[in-house]
Amino acid sequence: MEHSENELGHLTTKNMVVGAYVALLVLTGVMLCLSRLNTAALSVDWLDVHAIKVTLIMLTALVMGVIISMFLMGLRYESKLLNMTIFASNFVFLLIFVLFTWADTSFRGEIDPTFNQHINFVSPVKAEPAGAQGHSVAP
Amino acid sequence: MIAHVTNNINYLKAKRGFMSWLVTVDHKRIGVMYLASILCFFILGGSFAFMFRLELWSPLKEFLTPDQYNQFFTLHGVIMVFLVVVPGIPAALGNFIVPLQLGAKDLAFPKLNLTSLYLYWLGAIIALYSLVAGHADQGWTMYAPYSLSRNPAVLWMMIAAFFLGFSSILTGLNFLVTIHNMRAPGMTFFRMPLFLWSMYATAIMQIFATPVLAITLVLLLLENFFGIGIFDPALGGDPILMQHFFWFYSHPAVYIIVVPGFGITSELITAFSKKDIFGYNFVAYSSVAIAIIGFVVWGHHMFVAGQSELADFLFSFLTFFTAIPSAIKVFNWTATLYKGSIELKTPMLYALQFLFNFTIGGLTGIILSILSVDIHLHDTYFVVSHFHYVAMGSTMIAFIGGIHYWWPKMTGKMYNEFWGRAAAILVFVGFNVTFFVQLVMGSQGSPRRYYHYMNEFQIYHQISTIGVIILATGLFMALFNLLASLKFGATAPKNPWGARTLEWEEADSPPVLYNFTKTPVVTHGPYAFDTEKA
Amino acid sequence: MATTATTGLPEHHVAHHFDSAQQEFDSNKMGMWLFLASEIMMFGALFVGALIFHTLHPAAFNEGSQHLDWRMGTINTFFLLTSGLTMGLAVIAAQSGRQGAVRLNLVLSILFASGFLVVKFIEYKLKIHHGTLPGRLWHGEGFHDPYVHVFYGLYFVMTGLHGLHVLIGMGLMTWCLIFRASSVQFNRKYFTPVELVALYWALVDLIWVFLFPLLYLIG
Repeated sequence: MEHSENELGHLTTKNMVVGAYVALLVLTGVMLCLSRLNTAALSVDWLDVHAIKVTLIMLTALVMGVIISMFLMGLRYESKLLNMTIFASNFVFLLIFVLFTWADTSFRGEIDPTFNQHINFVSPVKAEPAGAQGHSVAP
Repeated sequence: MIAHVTNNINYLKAKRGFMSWLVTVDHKRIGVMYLASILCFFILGGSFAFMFRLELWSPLKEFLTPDQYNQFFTLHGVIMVFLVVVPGIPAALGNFIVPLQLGAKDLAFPKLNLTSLYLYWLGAIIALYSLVAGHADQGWTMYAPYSLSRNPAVLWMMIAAFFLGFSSILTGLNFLVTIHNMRAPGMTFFRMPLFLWSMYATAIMQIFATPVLAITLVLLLLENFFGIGIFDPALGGDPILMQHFFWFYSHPAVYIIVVPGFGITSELITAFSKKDIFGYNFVAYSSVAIAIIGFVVWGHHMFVAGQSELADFLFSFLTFFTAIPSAIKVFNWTATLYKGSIELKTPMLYALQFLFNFTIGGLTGIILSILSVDIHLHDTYFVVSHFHYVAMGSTMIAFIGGIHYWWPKMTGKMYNEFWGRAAAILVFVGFNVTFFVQLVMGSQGSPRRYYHYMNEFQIYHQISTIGVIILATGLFMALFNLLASLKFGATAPKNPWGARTLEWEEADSPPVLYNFTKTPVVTHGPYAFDTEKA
Repeated sequence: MATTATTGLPEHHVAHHFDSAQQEFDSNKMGMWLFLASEIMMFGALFVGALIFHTLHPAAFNEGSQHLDWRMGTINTFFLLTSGLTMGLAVIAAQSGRQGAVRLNLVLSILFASGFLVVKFIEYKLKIHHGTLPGRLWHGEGFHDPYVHVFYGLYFVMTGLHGLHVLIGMGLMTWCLIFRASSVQFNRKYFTPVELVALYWALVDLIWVFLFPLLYLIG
């Protein structure tokens, strides 16, 4: 986007800000209605209704996040790809963070059958003679 | 503008008095103050290492108690990581050089830059206070539950690391904005010296990884005070989750440490081979690639910590990829040397050391990333040696080389070349004697961090201790040589090395207050040694 | 729209190390974006912790979540979104040089933000009353899952840190109101302070939009 000599950035318009605000209020309402659904009553064997509800709520939050970043933070009107890239990197790095951590916390002991079992392990290190209590070992 | 009135006096003389340094927003003065502070902490952290290395001369007590030994290596680790190598090159040399190489008057946010220096000092003072507040013996990694003992020394150390983290974020932010918006006319991204590319990559990691450290430290502090139960196993928390948080920062931090060293090496090797870098784009992009890959490999620090096998496999597999950009760099530097007119000046000796040490450091890293081998080598001296080859043997060596390279620009004085070279050779010998034996010792299974060791390892420990004495001699020789030049050195010419980057061709030694008397216009690449000066 | 209102305030001067107003504006804005990126990483790490905890102990998460009052959360969402609107209007006013409208919108934003903090304060007070406090301080009664206290640990850390950011945001607005809006003429060439504070405030909104359903609604 070319700027004239004395104009900086994009010009925010009132319609845009108010429109975003109304959309956010409506989506908050949607989120609340979803959360008030009694999933226990709708529950069926072959479908985890509760999980769908949670997913829908978080998706609504995501849409709200997109609206805030696009219209209130002006990402929609950025001439350079730069700020978009910064934002996208945030998203990617956090996704990596949560996925890899989850790959640990949710799969512990899946492959190794001895996990969580007590193994009769005899230390090769001889116990220190008495009076050597001060010889603590750091991590 | 008023600016032009004082813009023909060099920055050291532009204003006088102690206060003029403390409230300065000049990036050059801030860089010099950072350099002085970092070197002081390097000496402090080094003397802790020196003392426990002497203690390890025999498996019995020499002069330190086991508790003191634990404190000393904790302090060595914390000081060297958080106060020396992480801020190191970007804060000291980067602050001074980045605007000069870009052809800018200053960094984009001079006041923020000063703030980051004060945050560094604040963190440093708190870290020093933690020395007297008690016995910090948790190791620099601050793993839970070691760090949950409500030990005041540990708490102060975490607060210190928090402030130092913010200082690092502000530096990175400043560099990214400056490189994007403040380039001189004609300075395209691909005419930037490679030092700037490495600063760019470093800044990405500083901005995206350091906040995770900040929040980890906040959570640890809250865990200490209120027992919020997220990390504390006694309260139902997951201590391995804490390690994930910690290494999500600290693995990129390892690259925050080493990538600036790559940048300096690229400058030194081209300047003293009088040759354009081989494969500019590859060297530039590989810095960024390392920064990105650095975010997906943190789990290799936790192979034996109890994380799931699935995560082990993933992280081991991904870690191999770090070898690709690293190898591209080493091959390209070597190819740059080929048929260059090489001058073995002091900075070049450090650059060659970097090549040698980094190759060893990098290859031992590949060995450690192999899952099955790592289970054997984890927590042995092999690991100690590996990361010292990278952090000390590569980063600090590049740092010292960079200091020698830019010293004439910073101070306007030439140091004694003979003593500079002698010190460089001593450092090389001392460093390798110290750490190469630790590779052997570690591969035989000698565990790290212990006060006692088995008698069969004594010979290795003794060789290592002798090495550290040589290393310390070399480092002090280099330091005295540089300091002596301030008083006895000859006045430095504008461009003593015949380099082609802006800070040498366009700026005086030392530069004027706003760096350049007129805004430079860039017409050639950073290493255009085959074309005449315009 | 380049009308400059005649308020008698001086025009802004570009700082010495920048070549042009454009360069200054771009640098400031990019700096703010990078700062926000680091903020997102900081909060993001907490969200990662919460998600991991949710996968490990879903029952504790649900039970804890059901003891939070969604009505108060909704009121707070309304307060924050509305203050986001008034900040957006403040930027528009600054761009068109209407200094009075800038001040009015800043005051409104500060008021809505204080409303948020008041509700948060009431919520915290109730939690302290019921003893649903993190970890060692926990003395809540009538809970079944042994890990509920970790949920409250997360709740207090996340909302506490967010509340701190609300407070900082209010501070920035006040600074904008007292020191900038009354000493420099805003116009199409210079509205950086309002723009940056609005960006920061949008981030506070953004984080809350995720925090609210995560803590209050998905239990």
